[in-house]
Amino acid sequence: MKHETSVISARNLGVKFGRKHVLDGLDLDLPQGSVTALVGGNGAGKSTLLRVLVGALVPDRGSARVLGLDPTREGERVRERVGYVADRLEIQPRTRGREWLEFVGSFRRTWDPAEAQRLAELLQLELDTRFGEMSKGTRAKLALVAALAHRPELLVLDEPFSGLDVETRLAVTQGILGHLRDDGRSVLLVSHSTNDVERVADRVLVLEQGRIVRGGELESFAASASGGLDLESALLRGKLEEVMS
Amino acid sequence: MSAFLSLLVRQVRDNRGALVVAPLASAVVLGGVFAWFPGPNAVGEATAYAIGSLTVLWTLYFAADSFASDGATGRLATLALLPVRARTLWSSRVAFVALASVGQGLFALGFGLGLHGALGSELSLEASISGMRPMLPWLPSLAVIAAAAMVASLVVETALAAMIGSLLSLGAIGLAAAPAWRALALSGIDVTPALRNGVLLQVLLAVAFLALGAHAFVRGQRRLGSRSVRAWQATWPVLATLTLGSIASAAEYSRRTAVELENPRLRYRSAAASKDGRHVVLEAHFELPGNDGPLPSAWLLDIESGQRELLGRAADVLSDRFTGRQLAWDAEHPLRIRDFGALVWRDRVELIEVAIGGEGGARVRREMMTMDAGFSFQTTLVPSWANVERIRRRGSDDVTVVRWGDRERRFDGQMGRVWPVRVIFPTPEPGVLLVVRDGQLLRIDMADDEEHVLLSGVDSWIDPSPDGSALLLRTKDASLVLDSRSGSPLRAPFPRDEAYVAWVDAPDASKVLQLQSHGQRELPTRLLDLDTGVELEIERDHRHQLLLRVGARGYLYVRGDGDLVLTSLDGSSERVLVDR
Repeated sequence: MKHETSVISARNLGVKFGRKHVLDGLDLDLPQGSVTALVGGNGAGKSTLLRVLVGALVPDRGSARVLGLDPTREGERVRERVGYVADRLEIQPRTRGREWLEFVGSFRRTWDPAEAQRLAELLQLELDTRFGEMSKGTRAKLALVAALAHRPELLVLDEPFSGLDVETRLAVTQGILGHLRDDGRSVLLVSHSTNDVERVADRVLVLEQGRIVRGGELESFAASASGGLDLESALLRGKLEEVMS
Repeated sequence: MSAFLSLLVRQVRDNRGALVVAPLASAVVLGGVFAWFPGPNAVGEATAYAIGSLTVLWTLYFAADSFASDGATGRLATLALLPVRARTLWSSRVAFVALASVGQGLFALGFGLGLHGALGSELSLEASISGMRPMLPWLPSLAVIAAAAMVASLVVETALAAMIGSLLSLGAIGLAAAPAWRALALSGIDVTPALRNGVLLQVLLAVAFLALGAHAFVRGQRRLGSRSVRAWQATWPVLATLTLGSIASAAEYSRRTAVELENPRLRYRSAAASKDGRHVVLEAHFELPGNDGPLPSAWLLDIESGQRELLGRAADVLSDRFTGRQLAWDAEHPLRIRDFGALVWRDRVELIEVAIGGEGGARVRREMMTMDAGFSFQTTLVPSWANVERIRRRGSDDVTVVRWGDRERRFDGQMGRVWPVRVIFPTPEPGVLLVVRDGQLLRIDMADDEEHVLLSGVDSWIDPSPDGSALLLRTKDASLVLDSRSGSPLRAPFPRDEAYVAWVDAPDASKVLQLQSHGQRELPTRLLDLDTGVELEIERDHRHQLLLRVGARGYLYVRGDGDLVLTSLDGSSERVLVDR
């Protein structure tokens, strides 16, 4: 059922890589102000779905609306209003963090350099370090700051906690994402860490073989799927049931 | 700052190392040239070549690296996530390549000329400038190279591979384009006038490559900078062009060689008739722009039955060695044709002899020969009393020697002034020559070497009738028909301002003239039989040279509507031999 105030809605989305159907008739609605976690195994199509939603990947079939825009035709307008953290950031190794943020900021009308500085301090990101000298975690922080400093209406995160230390994870999940939720903005995140998902998400969607197979409010989802177990157990049980059937 | 400028500045920053190293390297090379070459002219010319080469090199490098390393590292995928259109990203890279190339070129130019201005001489500076002047028309080719290298950098992931790939692609396209161009010409689309403008052609090529690159890049970015998508999109048009070029090449060759006489683009050049008038050997060829005409195909045509046989696909019918006219043939004197065959390897050639005889009235014999075996060229216009030898001497005048028994007469001069038969004509009367010299027609009797002036004001060569019994000669005002034995007029002259007059080829002793009004080729051609006095008007397609009297059967020519026809001698009947 489509939400009246969906920030993301998708219908019958399909993406093929060669002969493989990565997304296969996917339907999705994301209510405004929610923090939704997209979970699923490797190759389930999570990253592909996010790329389609930000207009970086044109689907083979189906349609999507993000913040009322068509990402296929208006991809650059979608990316201007959405903060997106990809699973991989690659820039010129000699480029310093500050330089990259200035570059990214030059494309965004709502870019706030003070906010970028504040986020960098919160995440303890050293902006004068060259990209080639940054650790995986530092690169993830840089990507987060670049995705957040223009105060996006929707934040799309692909494995944002990968490589982050515990303190930074807490800062991101409780500080940043919690603030966004409280502010009425929406978040769609992909993560393999059920702990992080449980910590921040209020909805969970399970993606398998290119389709949303289960989903709902976090608490009711875990309860219905596992009989009162935590999310990890619920997901595991779901997987086992699928295998047994 | 606009997205375009941001991307451009980013590209400059990312390439600042190369942007600094390139001019330093240019300075070292130009300094080396200045120090190494002796003399103001040599150093000036070498500087010009060095500036040109450095500009090409840096253009190629910056273009080839425009996407290659970004594609390899995945940076294109990161850029695909910026709120910017793929076209903006592409055009910012094009702008960077243009700026970097022009900048490096201007630096090399300024540094090279500055070096001569400061340390050289006025002479070396002039030599540099004049050495660069011929390069100016090729400036747009820098854009072609840059655009091709940018396309290559979308496909491969190192700048070096992109540099090599782009040059190979350009070479291959060049190779494929030439036959494609000729194939188009064969199909009736002559693009030669457009191609004559070299600058326009270069600009068009550059635009085509840039459009291809933009298309491939945008398609790739629609799949998160997918390398496979952009590589395929950039490659298939080039491959398609090369394939089409190859197909066109094959088609062109096929059409050149495997033709049908009905093809309306075929031109009938000439024909050699058998002395019995039953068969003719036709030469037909395609007309191509410029001098790149293919060898004609040769056909044996039976006038009676209309049956035809392809004798040679790329053939050369051996003609009279002195007049170039086709030779008549019979049972004893076969017509000879060289067939160069299906390919252009000309070390071996097929000799085809066609003679009267055999079941169908004509006998064809084939034999493979090497090109260096040589062929004894024939002539039918030198009477048996005369032995004529033409000696070509490199670096000095040619010699024509006419021998009559133990007597000999030598004529020295430029080739056109001592040409046998056309200038030095041995008449049917033994020992008597008619010679055109200094605007006069002379009669020379070899018995006593006496010379008599028969005619003055001659401004043409001698044009003998098919059997040599009559001659056509032109003065400023008239075309004269003379008896070749006596040199006396056979009929009243034709005023030259009224019509062009020439003989109609024939395998026998007939004397038929064709008269065509000047500048009005659409008017009928008048045929005048000097033996019978019969006059006839025919409407010819003048794009075909063929006009032949086939014995008593009539005249063979291409009618105004393109059909090959045989018209009876009095014009009372007409038969279509090839309906086109």
